[in-house]
Amino acid sequence: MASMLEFRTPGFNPYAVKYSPYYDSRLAVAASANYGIVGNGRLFVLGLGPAGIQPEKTFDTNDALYDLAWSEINENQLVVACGDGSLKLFDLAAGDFPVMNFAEHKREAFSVCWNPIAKDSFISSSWDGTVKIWSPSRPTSLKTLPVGNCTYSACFSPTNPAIISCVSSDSHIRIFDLRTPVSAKYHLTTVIPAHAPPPMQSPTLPLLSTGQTFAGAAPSEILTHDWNKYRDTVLATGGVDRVVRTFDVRNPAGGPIGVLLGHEYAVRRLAWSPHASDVLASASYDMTVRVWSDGSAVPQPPPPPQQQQQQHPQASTIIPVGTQLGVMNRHSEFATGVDWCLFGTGGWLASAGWDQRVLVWDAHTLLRG
Amino acid sequence: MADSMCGPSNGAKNFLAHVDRDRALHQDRLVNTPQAGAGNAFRSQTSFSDGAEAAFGSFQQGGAAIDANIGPGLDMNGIGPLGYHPTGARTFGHPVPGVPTTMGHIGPGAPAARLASPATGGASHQEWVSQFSGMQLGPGAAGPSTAMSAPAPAGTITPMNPVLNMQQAPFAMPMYGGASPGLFSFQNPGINPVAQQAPQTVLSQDTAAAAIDVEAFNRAFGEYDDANFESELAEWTEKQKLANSEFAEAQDNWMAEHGPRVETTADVKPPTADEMEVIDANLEKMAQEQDKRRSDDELARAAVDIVNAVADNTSEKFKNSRFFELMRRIGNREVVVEGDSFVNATTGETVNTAHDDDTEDSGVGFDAVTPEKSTDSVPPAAEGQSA
Repeated sequence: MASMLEFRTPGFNPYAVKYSPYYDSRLAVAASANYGIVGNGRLFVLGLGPAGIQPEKTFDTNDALYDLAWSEINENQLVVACGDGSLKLFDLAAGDFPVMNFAEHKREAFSVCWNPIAKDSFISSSWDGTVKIWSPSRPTSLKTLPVGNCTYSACFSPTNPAIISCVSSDSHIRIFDLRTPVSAKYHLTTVIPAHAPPPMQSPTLPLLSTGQTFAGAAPSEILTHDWNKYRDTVLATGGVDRVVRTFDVRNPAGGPIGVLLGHEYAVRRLAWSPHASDVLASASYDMTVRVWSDGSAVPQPPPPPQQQQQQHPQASTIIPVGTQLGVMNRHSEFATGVDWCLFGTGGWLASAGWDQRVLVWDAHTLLRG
Repeated sequence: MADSMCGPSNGAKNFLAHVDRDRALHQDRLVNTPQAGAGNAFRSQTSFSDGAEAAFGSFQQGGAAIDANIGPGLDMNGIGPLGYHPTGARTFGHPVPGVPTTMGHIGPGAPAARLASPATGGASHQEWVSQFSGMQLGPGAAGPSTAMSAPAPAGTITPMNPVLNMQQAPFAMPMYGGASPGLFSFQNPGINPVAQQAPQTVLSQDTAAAAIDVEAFNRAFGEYDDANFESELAEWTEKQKLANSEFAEAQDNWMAEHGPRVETTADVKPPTADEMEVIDANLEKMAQEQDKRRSDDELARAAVDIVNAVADNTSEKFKNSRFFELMRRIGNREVVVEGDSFVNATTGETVNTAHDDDTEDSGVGFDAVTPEKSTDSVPPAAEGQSA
C-alpha cells in the first residue's frame, strides 16, 4: 500500500482522529500519554501535503484526551474531551491554550460531537452517565440529558439538529428529541436494546441471511455508534460483542436491520461513509480497520436456499448480513480511531491506533485485487 | 411460610400460599376428617362424605355412650311417676351450648363422680351438678313451700305436682315467659334456704379436700422453696452489689481520667497553626499513599484481566504488542505508576512507552486484500496541491 501516508505521535497513543469539515488537507488527532492510563494528553493538528503529513500545531493538556470534534462554525476551532471530565475548545489561531474550558462532567468525558446542522452547539458524553449540550460561547452547559450509566458515545443526527443519540454500557441506544417537552423523560423518545433479537414468531434463534443462526443476544457494552449520512433513520453500533449492527430508529423493537460479523475483538469506532449510503468503516481492538457494506445498496440477496427453508420452516426472521469489503491490517496496536475524508473522490480514510501512528489511506486499495 | 414470601413468584407458590392461608369451611372439614389425609383425593365425593358421616356417627356414638354408661338415666325413668318423660331426658342428653351436658343425667341418688363424664370434665361442672342435685333433693325434703312463689305467675305450671316443680323448672325453661327469673329463683339462696344448705355442704367438703392437698403440697415443697429462695435472693443481691460497685469504681476512674472535669494537661493543648500544617501534610500524605496503593492494585488487576482476555490469541501482532507487554509488566508489579508516568518498580527508571524505535516493518501486518501500487491513488489534499 504505497499510497498510505503515515504520521507518528511519539509518546502519545491516539484515541481519535477526525478530518476537518473545512479543509481536505487538515485533520486532528486526540492522543494520550501512556495509553490514557496516566499522564497528559496532546492534540495534534496535521496538514496533508506533497511531503506527507506534517504537524501544523499541537496543544498539550493536563489529562488524557479521549475524543475530539471540529467546530462546524469556525474552521480554526475544535473541542476535545478530557480524562478529567472537562471539554476544551482550542483555536488554531489563539496560542497554546484553550479558549474555553467546559468543566461539568464528574468523570471522564468520552465523546464530543458538534451539531452539523445548527452548528451552534455541541454535545459531550461521559462516564458520569450524562450527555450535556453546550454552546461554544457559554461556560455552562445548556442542558443535561441523563442516561444513567457509562455513556461512551453521543451523536447529533446528521439530518435533524434536534435529535441526539447516545450509546452506553447498558447495551441500549437512546434517542433524544429536543423538540419534545422536557417534562416527560428529559426528551428521551426512543430506547433501542441493541442486543435484542428481532421479534420472533418461532422459538428458534433468528437466522442470518448467510443461513447461520444469530446468537448475539446478550447485553454488552456499546462503545461507538454513527448515523448513516444518507438514510436519516439508520444508525450503526459497535461494541464489546464485536458485532456491528445497523438499526432503523423508527422500529425500536424490530431488532437489527443488519449485522456485520468479522471483528475479533471489541469495536472501538465506527464511521459511515459520507460518499456512499451503504459503506462504513470500523476500528477495533483486534488492531484492524475494516470497511463494510451493509448490503442495503444492492437488492436483497435471494432468500436462503430451499434447504434452509425446510430446516427452519417457521423461522421467518432473517437478518441481512453485510459484506466486509476489506481489512486494513497495518496498525500494530489497538485501532482506536477512523474517519472518512469528506472531500475528493471519496474513499479516503484516516485511522489511528495505539501504535502511535496515524495512517491515511484509500479504501479503494482494499477493494482491488 | 417464609419460603413463599421470598424469591421470585410463581404459580405453584401462589397456590401453596392460598392453601396455607385458606381458612374456609371446606378446608376445616378436610383437615378434621380422619380419612382425608394429604393428597387423599379430596375431590372424591365418596371418601369425603364417608369421612363426614363417620365423624358424625362417632360423634353420635360418643353421645350415646355417655347416655349408656350413666345410671341416672335409669333413675330418671324411675321418676316416671312424677310425670317425667324419657324423651325429655333424651333431649337433655345432647350437649347444648351454654347448658351443662350433665343436666340431663341428674338423678336423685346419683353421686357426683358418676356424673362427671369425660365430655364435660372439670371441677366447676362437677360442682354445679352436685349443687343442682342437692337442690333437687331439697324440695323432696323441705316441701315446695317457698319455691313455688317464683314460677307461679307463669301459670302453666301451677296445677302441676309441687314436687315436680323443682325438676320441671330447669327442664322446661322455654315454657316460662321470663326464663331467667325462674332459673334465678332456684339458685337464689334467699328464696329457698333449705335447698341451699345441701349444695353448700358438698361444696365445702370439696374445698376442704382441695385445701388439704394444697397444704400437703406446701408442706412438701413450699418450705424448702421459701428457704432456698430467700438465701439465693440474698446471694444474688450481694453479687449484684459487688458487680455494681466494681463497675461504678471503674467508671469513676475512667471519668477522672478522661471525663469533662479532668484537668487538661499541658501536652494535650490544641495544636498550633504550625503543628496543624505538619499534621495536615502528614494526613494528606497518608491519604495519597493509600489512594496510590489502591489505584496501583486496581491497575494491576485490570492489567491482568486485559492480558488474560487475549491469552488465547496467538497472532504475531498480539505477541509483539508493546501495550500487552506493558500490561504484563504492570500485572507482575514490575512497572508501577509514579506521578504521570510508568516507572520500573525496581530501578525507578521511566518506562518508555513511545513506539519510536519501531522499525519500518515491525508489527505491520498484511491487508486482507493486498493492493497493487496505484498511481491514481493520491490523498485528496496531496492531489489538490499537486494539481
